[in-house]
Amino acid sequence: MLKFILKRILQAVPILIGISLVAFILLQLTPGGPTAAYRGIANIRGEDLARIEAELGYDRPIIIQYFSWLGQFITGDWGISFVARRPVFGLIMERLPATLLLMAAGITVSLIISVPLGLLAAIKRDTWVDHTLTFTSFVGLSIPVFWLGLMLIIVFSVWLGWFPTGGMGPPGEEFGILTRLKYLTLPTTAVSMVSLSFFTRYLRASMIETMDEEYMRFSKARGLPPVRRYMRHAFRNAGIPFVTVVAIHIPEFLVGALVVETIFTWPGTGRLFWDSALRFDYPVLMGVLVLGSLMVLLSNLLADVLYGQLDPRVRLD
Amino acid sequence: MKRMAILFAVLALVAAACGGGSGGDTETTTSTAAPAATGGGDTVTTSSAAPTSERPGGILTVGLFQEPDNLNPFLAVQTASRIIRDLVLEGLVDADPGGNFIPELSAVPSAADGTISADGLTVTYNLVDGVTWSDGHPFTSADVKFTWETVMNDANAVTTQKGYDVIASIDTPDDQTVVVTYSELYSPALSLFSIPEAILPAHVLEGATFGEAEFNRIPEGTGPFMVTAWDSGQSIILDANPNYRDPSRPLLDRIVFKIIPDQNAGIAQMRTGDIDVFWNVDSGVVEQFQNMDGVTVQVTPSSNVEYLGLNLSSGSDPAQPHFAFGDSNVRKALAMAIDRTPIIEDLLFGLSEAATSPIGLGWASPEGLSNPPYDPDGARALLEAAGWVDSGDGIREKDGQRLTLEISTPTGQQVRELTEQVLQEQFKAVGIELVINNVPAATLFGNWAENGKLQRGDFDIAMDTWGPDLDPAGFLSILFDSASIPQDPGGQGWNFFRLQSDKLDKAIADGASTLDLEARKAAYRIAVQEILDAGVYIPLYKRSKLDAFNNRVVGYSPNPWGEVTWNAEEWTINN
Repeated sequence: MLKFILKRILQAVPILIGISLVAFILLQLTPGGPTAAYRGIANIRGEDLARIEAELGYDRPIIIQYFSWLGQFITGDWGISFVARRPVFGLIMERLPATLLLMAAGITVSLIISVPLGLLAAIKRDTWVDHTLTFTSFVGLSIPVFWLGLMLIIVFSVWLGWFPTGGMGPPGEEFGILTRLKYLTLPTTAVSMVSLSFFTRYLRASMIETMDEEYMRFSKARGLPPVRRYMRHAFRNAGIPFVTVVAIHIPEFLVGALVVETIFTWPGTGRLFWDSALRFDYPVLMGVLVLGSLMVLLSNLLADVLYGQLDPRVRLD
Repeated sequence: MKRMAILFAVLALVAAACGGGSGGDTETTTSTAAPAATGGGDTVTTSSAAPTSERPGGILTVGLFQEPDNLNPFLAVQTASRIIRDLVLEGLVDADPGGNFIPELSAVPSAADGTISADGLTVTYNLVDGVTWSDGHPFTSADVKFTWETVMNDANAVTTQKGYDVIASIDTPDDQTVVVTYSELYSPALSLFSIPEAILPAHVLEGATFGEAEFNRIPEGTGPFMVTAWDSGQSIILDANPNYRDPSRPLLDRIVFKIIPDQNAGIAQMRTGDIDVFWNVDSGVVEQFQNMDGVTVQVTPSSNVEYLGLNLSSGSDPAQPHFAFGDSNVRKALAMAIDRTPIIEDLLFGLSEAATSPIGLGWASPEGLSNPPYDPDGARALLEAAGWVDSGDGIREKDGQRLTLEISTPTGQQVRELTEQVLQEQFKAVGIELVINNVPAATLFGNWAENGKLQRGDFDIAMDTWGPDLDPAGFLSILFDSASIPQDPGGQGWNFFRLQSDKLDKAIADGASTLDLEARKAAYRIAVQEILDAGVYIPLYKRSKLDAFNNRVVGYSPNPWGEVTWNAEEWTINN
């Protein structure tokens, strides 16, 4: 098992290098360039732009820039943000906890709600319970996240005043876990809505497929109590692909966080990426891109490992 | 089942760990700040040394849709940066709402008292007494000299060295006197070290470069406020500077700048009272702020003018005239076909006024200018006389060429897109077909190597906003001087009209050849008249700055030359 994980991590290295090379070149190809934000300011002359680009090394050939970036990146020096003039690593690391918190909350809430609902829908297949759940799932799947976010703010913050409109906490004050939960509620709802519906649908389908198996009918014929049949026999089997899907789905929460973070002024990496893209801040964009790719690769690895753990027929080596 | 339970447990742990972790961070960051919250306002002032009796105190929250890039005046380009750092850092002089220089850290040098030499090459600053940095360290002439040396050190990669690179030397005969000697006349000399820049603290930055300096984020200043915390992506907190030279200012204890990247979220937070001020309201949502109880939208004029720029050339070669705009009568007809009233009244809710000049505000703005009156009949007659006749479908043609013109502006800006549609109708009424071809800003404003449409002359009409700084010298020369016509290789100027006029070039040069304001005014009047007569620059309207204020905020007054917080030390909060 350890060997498998090590092997996969080693395989990830060339993939990450490939991704970073493509990303680096694509960024360089976009019109604008690092000094784009400076153009059109009457006081900033051509010679100023040339001086800045030379000082920051942007006048070198792209491939040299890339390898110099890569060399530094490996040693933990992710460069200096062109915009904030601060180390990129620190910039990202100070934003990462916020995004991880939002993702973790989103995943937890999605699972806590979708697992019982998915089971219920499958067990009560083709009844009004199932139809209602199917309908609400599709509604959840089709609501655009930014719209949902704004609606949540209008209803629960502006009209009812139950939750804050945004942020991670009251600025400049000390606060406890309850306050944090209050700030977390609306963004978590927004970020988990799509996944929640998706998980419910997936688990329902997976359960139904399992329940149609021979051994399920046999277990019923044996007279096993329903709880035991559904939980022990059906859910255990249906849960294996479900866990894989959930693990692979983790990066989706990162994408969702990008939108949600902007609406709820949540200070995470998604917003950092968005702001940096608007400002052509290459070093930060590269850092977030590589980190995002790493997260996708790790999620896939996690999916494989969990699959091996849950399904005795699968052996990883 | 057991394994699923473990998975849940792990996820829950991760969530708890993250929650605890970042919560801890927030506390450590803010513990450096004075305590706030419930009754914290009093704690702030009593814990500091400043006399408190006449200061009403209070905490104000401002919503910013943009997070500042950094707070270093020589690195930052974002307006949000200036909104905050102008409360912390100060220049030698400042500008009042009328665009006149006023003292800040120094008296205003003038030719009258000899602090500007007769040849304009020596400027003497007499610094204000008793100024200290917020850490109590005295402010002296050495700080001014240090600022110049820092700007000229290439390792700092500052945004611009313009003006600073024509300073020959800076002498500091004593702590209160700075003598700046220029190697050549630099007409905007008084803006240097001041607008939009500021003086740097030598005792903090000595021996370091800007590279990763903490100063870029938490600058040490002489202003009424000081930065005490910056939670990335969330908020920047400014507290009253206890060492500020006027002990009765600022009136507030603390200003919290909350980063709210979304206009709709800003509307919601204004409505719940989470923020007291929202900076830079989109004209598209201004009605929502206006309709809120207890909220006023403040309209501040700005020097930025929305205009149409006409391309005189066919492509990038100024020697090849444009098929339609090569004829001055067509340019004149275009100007006469425009009715600004529906644009201003319907699209801008009457919150802007018509522009008549590229320099719409300030000491250099010529008085008494007016646009050619809206006269579609006159426009038709001019086009007819120029040989453009109806081709049968209402659109004119000449020598088999239809009078079809393309208008370009950066994509994604609703008011501009609607303005284009209004112009489309108005031009059609006189027989001109207007085709809208909007492109991303980077494509329109890209440089020569990136095939920027303006640089390459790949457009007929551009709709853009630009305006001069307090000193219009740089603006006029980069936009209208014939030396600024973009050309291969790597053209750097922005005279994308490809306007060539000796008279204009001379007026721009004259305006920059003296520090005598009256002589400069006269030169710029000639320059502006020349630009308007050429008909390549059609001013549409003055861009207004719109900021929403809760009515409990008292003391704001508009200043076109400062940002929304320019006089925030005078603000108070009525509870």
